[in-house]
Amino acid sequence: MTADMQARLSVMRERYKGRVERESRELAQLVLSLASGGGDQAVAAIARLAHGLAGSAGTFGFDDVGACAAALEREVAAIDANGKITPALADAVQALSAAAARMGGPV
Amino acid sequence: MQGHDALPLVLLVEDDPDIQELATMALESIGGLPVRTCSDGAAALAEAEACKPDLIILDWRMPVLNGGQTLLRLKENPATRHIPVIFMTASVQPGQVGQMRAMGAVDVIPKPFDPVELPKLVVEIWRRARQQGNSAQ
Repeated sequence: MTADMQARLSVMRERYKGRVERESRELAQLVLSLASGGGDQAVAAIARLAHGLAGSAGTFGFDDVGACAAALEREVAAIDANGKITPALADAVQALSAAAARMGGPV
Repeated sequence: MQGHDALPLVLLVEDDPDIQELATMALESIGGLPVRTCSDGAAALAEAEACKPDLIILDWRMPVLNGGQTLLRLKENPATRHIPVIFMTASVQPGQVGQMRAMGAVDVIPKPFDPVELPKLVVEIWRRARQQGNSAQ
């Protein structure tokens, strides 16, 4: 990989980190909203965001974030019809937030 | 064929802008492949007819038309049915790769992928698909 491409990749990764931070906060809010009757729309939004991060984070080198997002995607798929937050779902979104925080400094 | 014998013209259909940008950079800058891009299946149907790619990489989960619906439409159209299609997806469940191949995809690239290895993998799949197509004729 040339120096120019490495520089472009570095810019993309920095921008992607911002997306992860933003979307992990959004996911935490959406999971909380399930408790107050967020319903199907919240479930669909969680599934969409988690799927997107699960598929993209590892490609940018953030394997931990990708694994946590994949776990969250599995948990949201298992939500029962009444949309109750399960302990596993709450744990998964917490783990994702922690992984996002660990991305830390320059990559 | 715009990609000639050596390198195929690739139509990349991906709704995630970060992945679309990274995959395009990898295919173009590392692999030297010409690339066109779309962000949903409906746009891909029009672009496939217009640019006549040698290969289509389709995300599975997309708005408007998902990857499976897009593949079916491509295969229904005489102008595009011969174009090899690779699915790229984070949704690979046991047995799903077989289902995707049965639908007509030549291969499946799971996400996440290694951007450095992506061009080599894509060209390998394309060459294999072309050989199989030639031997079937």
